Amino acid sequence: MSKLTLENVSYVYSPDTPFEKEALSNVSIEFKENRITGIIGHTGSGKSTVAQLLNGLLKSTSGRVLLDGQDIFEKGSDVSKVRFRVGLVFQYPEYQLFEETVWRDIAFGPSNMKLDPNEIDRRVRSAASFAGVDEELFEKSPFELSGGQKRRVAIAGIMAMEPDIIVLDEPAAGLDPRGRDEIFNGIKKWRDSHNSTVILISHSMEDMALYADDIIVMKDGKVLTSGTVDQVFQRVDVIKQSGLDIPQITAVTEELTKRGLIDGNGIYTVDKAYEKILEALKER
Amino acid sequence: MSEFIKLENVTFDYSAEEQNGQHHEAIKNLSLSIEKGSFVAIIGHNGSGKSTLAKLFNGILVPTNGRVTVDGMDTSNEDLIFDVRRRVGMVFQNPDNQIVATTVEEDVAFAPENLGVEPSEIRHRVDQALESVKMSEYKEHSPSQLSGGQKQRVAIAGIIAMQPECIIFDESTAMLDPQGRKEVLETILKLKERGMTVILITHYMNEAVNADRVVVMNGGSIEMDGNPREVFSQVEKLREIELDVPQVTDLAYRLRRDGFELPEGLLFEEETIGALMKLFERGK
Ligand SMILES: Nc1ncnc2c1ncn2[C@@H]1O[C@H](COP(=O)(O)OP(=O)(O)O)[C@@H](O)[C@H]1O
Ligand SMILES: Nc1ncnc2c1ncn2[C@@H]1O[C@H](COP(=O)(O)OP(=O)(O)O)[C@@H](O)[C@H]1O
Ligand SMILES: [Mg+2]
Ligand SMILES: [Mg+2]
Repeated sequence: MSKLTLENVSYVYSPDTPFEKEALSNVSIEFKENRITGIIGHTGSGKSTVAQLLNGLLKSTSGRVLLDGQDIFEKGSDVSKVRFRVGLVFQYPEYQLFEETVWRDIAFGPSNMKLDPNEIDRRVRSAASFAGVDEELFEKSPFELSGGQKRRVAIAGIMAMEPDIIVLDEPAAGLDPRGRDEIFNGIKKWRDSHNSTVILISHSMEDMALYADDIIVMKDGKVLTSGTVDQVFQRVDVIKQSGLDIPQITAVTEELTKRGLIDGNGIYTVDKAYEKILEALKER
Repeated sequence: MSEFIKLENVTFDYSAEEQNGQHHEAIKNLSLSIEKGSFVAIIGHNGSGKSTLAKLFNGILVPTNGRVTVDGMDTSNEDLIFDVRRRVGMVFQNPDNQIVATTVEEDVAFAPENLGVEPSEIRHRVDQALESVKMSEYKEHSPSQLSGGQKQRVAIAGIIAMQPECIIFDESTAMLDPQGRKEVLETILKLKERGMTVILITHYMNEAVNADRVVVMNGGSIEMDGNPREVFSQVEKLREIELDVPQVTDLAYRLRRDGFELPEGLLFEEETIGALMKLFERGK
């Protein structure tokens, strides 16, 4: 297990040019081990910038990124090792497949880690099963696959590195409901069996309600609020302020609560709403 | 209202198109007619045949068996295909793949130029089209500087400039964030108000609920077909084929099942709050 922390991190794109843009300003986040943390925010709020800082792809303008307490850019620390330990699945990763076969694409990361061939094969098969890539596809060209299948291959490629921490930038964007659920469930299973830490980037509060343990809400390069899913859904006004849509069920239960009909602040699942409403109706 | 697109016992098999394709009917003996000026949502998960259907609607594909007519014109008649495609425009999923020019207005002018429309008329159409998607102020911008939602609106303007009678949106909001989706949906609703026939393929049930009619595809056939309330009230059936239902529809469905009096097929937050308030009143 590894612990990842952002400490007063700011990031400026194209500094000292007319295009200078401060994407993050003084952000501090402690990612809890063995949990799924959702980073949520409107487009442009800085989510992808955070993702790239976490595995050393970008270097913070000020502040530090700490992996197990050690600054990843400290003298003597090897950033390429950081990338093996903190795996990053980019947004729309299906556009970045390039090997001739699916197997080789998934094996690309572990091959770079100079593992022995049996271990690489074991990892490819294991990662493929979590990501939902059928072994029948191993010898196919990635270009023959559907968009959803390609996405899974890209995710498997990062899982095959067996990183301590995996960061996924909008892994379900554009998928159908079934594809979305399969990918999120695969990620959850992977976390459970590897005791790893997962960081999920999304702009859907509904998905986060179902799959995250903790949530960080970002706006304009800052953390607006954070906490467990239950805690964050208690602050519906703050979520709205961030420009995100709250789930339908949350809007309905908030309104009924405001009118004194139920006791239901911070509800985000249909199960819970149903239970609360039934309870209140029976009391009448 | 009169029939605009009509499919009669249509079967489509990709292997008939490509020599190495496997024998597989993507569309199976399907009949459907779409009225002029209607707003039809098509839902169903990946591989159910939605995109194939869309391509049959505007003659990009012609049926292996059966007949497709657009405003009475048979799409398999090569002399008419130009006319068919001009009347039925299509907006795709990835905003980046649809932009061809270096400024927004050139991009919108591209399609009418290809149709051989006169320059003065093109000017007029481009201005109008950009106005109707609320992108006039961006006309001299480079498309690469735009957000996803803005790019899609430019793509829609390009189609509008061809003055079609029908626009098909094939998951055109899938890659957008909630803000971008809202922008595009508003644009679609406006087009519909002005009499355009709209066909919206989507995975977002909160988009589909705005249509006059929802067609559910499954395995190349129509599984359900009706107005949104009729279709979404069949919660179990939708679940069986692993599709989402709106959260409030699910909640109302469960309460109805327990014997509470609620209207069938609630779809929107406001009406659900209203219906639940009445239920609480009655309970007193
Ligand atoms: N390569 C870049 N150059 C300049 N500005 C950038 C670059 N990448 C992102 N930005 C800007 O930084 C801010 C945060 O972007 P990003 O981290 O991509 O946000 P998100 O992932 O939440 O959409 C935005 O204002 C964006 O325009
Ligand atoms: N170019 C193609 N060649 C062969 N099969 C195809 C092609 N395009 C789609 N298919 C197959 O046709 C079926 C329907 O696909 P499609 O219409 O794209 O569904 P949807 O848009 O609902 O995801 C699927 O089984 C798919 O694999
Ligand atoms: Mg991003
Ligand atoms: Mg499709």
